[in-house]
Parts: sequence; structure tokens; C-alpha cells
Amino acid sequence: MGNQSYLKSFAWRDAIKIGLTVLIAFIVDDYFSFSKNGFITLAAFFVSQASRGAPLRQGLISLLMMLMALCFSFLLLKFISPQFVLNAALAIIFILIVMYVFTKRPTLKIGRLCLIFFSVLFVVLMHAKFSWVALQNSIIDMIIGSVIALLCRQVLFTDHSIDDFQDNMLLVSKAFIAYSNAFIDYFSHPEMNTTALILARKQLQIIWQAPNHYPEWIYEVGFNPGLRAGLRFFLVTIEQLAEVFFSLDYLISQPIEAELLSSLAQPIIFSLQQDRELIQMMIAFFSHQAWQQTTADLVTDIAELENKLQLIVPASLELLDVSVDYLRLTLLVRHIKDLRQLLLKLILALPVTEFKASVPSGV
Amino acid sequence: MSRLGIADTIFPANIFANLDCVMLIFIGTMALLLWQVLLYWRFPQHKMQKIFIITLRALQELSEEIFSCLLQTDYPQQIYLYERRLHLQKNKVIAAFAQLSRVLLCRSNQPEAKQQLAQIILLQCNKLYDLLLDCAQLRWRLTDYTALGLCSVEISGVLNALIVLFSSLKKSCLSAEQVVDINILEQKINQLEENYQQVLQVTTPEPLVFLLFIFSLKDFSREANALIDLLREAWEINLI
Repeated sequence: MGNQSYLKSFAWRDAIKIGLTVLIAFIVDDYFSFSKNGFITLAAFFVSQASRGAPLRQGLISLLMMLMALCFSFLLLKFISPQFVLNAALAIIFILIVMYVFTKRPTLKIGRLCLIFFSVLFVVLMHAKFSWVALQNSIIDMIIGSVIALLCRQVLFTDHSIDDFQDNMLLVSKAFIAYSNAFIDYFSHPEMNTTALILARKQLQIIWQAPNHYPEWIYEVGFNPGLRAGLRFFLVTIEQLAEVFFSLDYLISQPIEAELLSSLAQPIIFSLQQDRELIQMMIAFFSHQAWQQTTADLVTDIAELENKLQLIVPASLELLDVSVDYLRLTLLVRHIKDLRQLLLKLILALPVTEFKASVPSGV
Repeated sequence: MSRLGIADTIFPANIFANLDCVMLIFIGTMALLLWQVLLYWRFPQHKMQKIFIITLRALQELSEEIFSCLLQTDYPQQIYLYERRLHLQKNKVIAAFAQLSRVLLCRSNQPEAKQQLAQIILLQCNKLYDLLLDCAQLRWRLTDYTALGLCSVEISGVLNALIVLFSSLKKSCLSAEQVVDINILEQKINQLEENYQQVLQVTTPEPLVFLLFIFSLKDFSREANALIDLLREAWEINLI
């Protein structure tokens, strides 16, 4: 990986940012601390780890949690005098927090807040003696640390939300291409094994689950209001697309009379090829390549597919559930239709005017 | 202001000055490790059982989230909130599948019959996952959400039956005697179908989406039945 890639990666930028924040906080702590308990560094460390979606809001929540822990620990110091009782209280609190975090896994946000609470409690109970002045000094130190972290967060290596989102979507789109290729191969040769489908499915699931590949941070409360609506809409539609792919995957594993399926195979393949073209347009957009204009009208193939279906299955709903095959074919066509609608929604949401102008009015 | 640094405060210069603290930390660590060593033999034996339970729990939570999208009236207004929750649940299920696959890979020295059965159970759980997502399509296909109000009682009945089913499936991983009854789910699906035939088919603008939803639920019930048989077989060959 080149130097530029390191600086482009969010993880590296975040690591460097946190490192620099802690260094600055450490120097400030060494010279200007009021409490001498290291609270400036501790506060800067915790606040700088706020989620990327809404750093200001998350940072303030972290500060609030630290202040709560501080007040709670000073209360303990005031009312519990022998050190061993304090140690026992600390141990019990630790056990309760760990139990809570483990039962709530993997909600990491709660885990982080619990860690903040316990760390502050630990530092205070191990090192401080009760006095109102000490409490006041600690509060001032925490606020200084938080301000340093929030300023560093805004100034050093600013977030590139759009670029990161596009990188994530590029990976997901490539996984969709692999999946749609596997479906096209399946409908072309249904007798072949489904290894390609299994691999494509696994690839999509891996991307879906990896926190670095899925931009979950756009759901954060307080995320940039200018970007929020557009990115969320895009992500939710992508999720729906994946759901349709998985549903289709199950459906084709079910027995459907070969003759019925073969009569629909060609229109389905043609439709999926058009869908692949649309996904490739998304890939071209996300990888900043030249926009490829599509020549397809994106309507006729779906209409033809529906016409073919109507020739096979009864038009009446009462008669549709006479045969399981009829229902499966109807569901299959519905999935294909949904795929097209979703892809068009995604393409139309991209800020590219050439495509919007070329889309037929009926779509 | 004194120049006594924070490093001097948090980390004492001489660690032996806090020898009793070091001893306490050591004793605490040993107490934890001792249990791990003493109960080590139980971990591999129960690992498969535990992962099956985690997978089933994740599937149950996913079904709850999906049905909450259908039952809560504020879904169209709070769409991103529900979708985020749904995404987290989907992730939990995929993580459980990944964990199960990893355990299967680690157990390549086990008899082939056991490995094969575990693979089939994993595939079966994948099918249930796909079918739940298939049922979830209803939330997108409907253009008029008020139609859900006409069958909310039946849909919540199906949800309750699903919760009961998953709970007894989890219990069946712990005890071979546990009986899993799929009839409750089938009964609730039939009630929904009756509602479809009498009300939804004639009153809603998109009866087909409900028909497809009921069809997916029936498929789910059939696949769940197959999973029950597989778990029974797993007990017979001591897989769980």
C-alpha cells in the first residue's frame, strides 16, 4: 500500500488523528493540569474516539459520561472510607459492567461508554483523595481534554464522508456484479452446480458484515444533515437490493418444473444482463470512470417477461395458488421486476444528469 | 504549579512500591484462568450446541425486527431507524453463520456423517434467513401501509408463533426430549390466509403481494419443519 493509500484509509487517518490528539493532550496535561490525575489525556483519548458519523454529539456524550463517573466516584470517596471497601466496590462495579457489556454484545457503543465510566472510576478511586477542590479541578481538566479532542477532530485529517461512502459502495456493487453473473450462469445452464452462486453469496455477506466496508456511520444521529437524507436513501435501497438477491437465491434452489422455467429463462437472462449493465454504470460512477450511457430502454424486457408469465400462469389470483410452480414463477418474476426498480432508483439517485435525461418517462 | 507529571501519578516509578496491587491482579487473573482450565473439556463439547443456539436466537431477533416493520404504524415515518435495527440483526445472523462455518472447518477431523449433518443444518439456517428476508419484502412492495391494519392481528399471531417456534428450537438444542411444535405456526398462517381470502383480496389494491407473503411464510414453515428433523438427527449422532 502506498503512502497515499495509508492517508486515504479512514482507519489510518483516525489512528494518526487520535495519536496526535493524545500527544497534544499529554503535553497540555503535563504543564497545565489542575488535578494532576491525568484527566486531560484521558478525556482527550475517549472523546477523540467518538464515532465518525457525528463526532461532536458523540464527543459530548462521552464527556457527559465522564463527568457522571467523576461525580459518582467522588461520592464514593466521600462516603466510603476504608480503602479495601472501595476496592471491593470497584471490583463489584467492574463485574456488573462486564456482565452488562457481554449480555449486550455486539452493541459496541454501550461497551465504549461503560469503558469510559469504569476508567474514570478506577483512576479516581485509586489516586484521588476527596475534596471539593479536587472534584472541581478534575471537572476543569476533563473539559479541557474534551475541547482539545473536539478541536483536533475538526481540524486534523478531516473526514471524507462522500469518498469513503463511494469506496464502500464500489465494493458492494462489485459483489452485486458477481452475484448477478452467477444468476445469469444459473439460468443459462440450470443443470450446472451452484458453486458460483454460493461463492458470490458469501462474498456479499462478508462485505456486508465487515465494519470497514459497510458505512453504518451514516445512520448516526447528528450525522451531517446535508448528506444524511441522500446517503441513507442510497444505503437502504442497496440493502433492499441485497435482500432481493438472497430471496432469489432461495427461490432458485426450489424445484420448479423445468419446462415452465425454460420458457421464462431467456427473458430472465436478458433482464439480468440489463441489470448487470446498470450495476456496471454504478461501478463506473463510484470508481470515477467515464459514465457509460446505456442503449437499453429498461422497460420492454420487463414488460415482455410479464407477458410471458401471463401466458403460463392463470391471470386470476384465485387460480394462482392451484399450483406451487405458478406461485414460484410469479414470485421469481416479481423479484426480477423489483431488482430493476431498485437499480433504477439507485441510478436515478446518483448525481449524473446524462442518465436522468435518457430514462424513458414510464420508468 | 508543581512539575510533577501525570505519568508519575498514574504509573508509579517503582512497580514494586505497589507490590500488593500486583499480587491482587495476579490472583484475580489466576482465578479466572483456573476455571478456564478446569472446565476446558466442556468447551469443545458444547461449542456446537452454543453456536446453534446463537444462530437460532439471531434468527428469532431478525424475525421480530422484520415483523415490527410490518406491525408498527410509525414505520413509514421512522424508516431509517427501523432499517438500521434490521441491518444490525441481519449482521448478527451472518456473524453466527460465519462462526458456525469456522467451527466446522476446525472440526475437520470429526466423522464425516457429523460434519455433513452440521453443514446441512447450516444450509437449512441459511434458507430460513433467506425466507425471512423474502417475507420482509412486503414492507417495500406495499404502497398503502394502511392495508396492514386489516391483518395486523393475524400478522402479530404469526410473529408470536415464530417466537414460540424459535424458543422451542433453542430448547431442543439443549435437550433431546424437547418437543417442537410447528402446528401453531401453521395454524396462524392459515388464519392469515383466511383473512387474505375474505378481506385482503377484495379490499386492498395489491392483493398479490399478500399472496406472495403468505406463500413465503408457508415455505418458511416447511423449512423450519425440516430443521426440526435435522436437529433430532443431530441428537441421535451426538452432534450436539
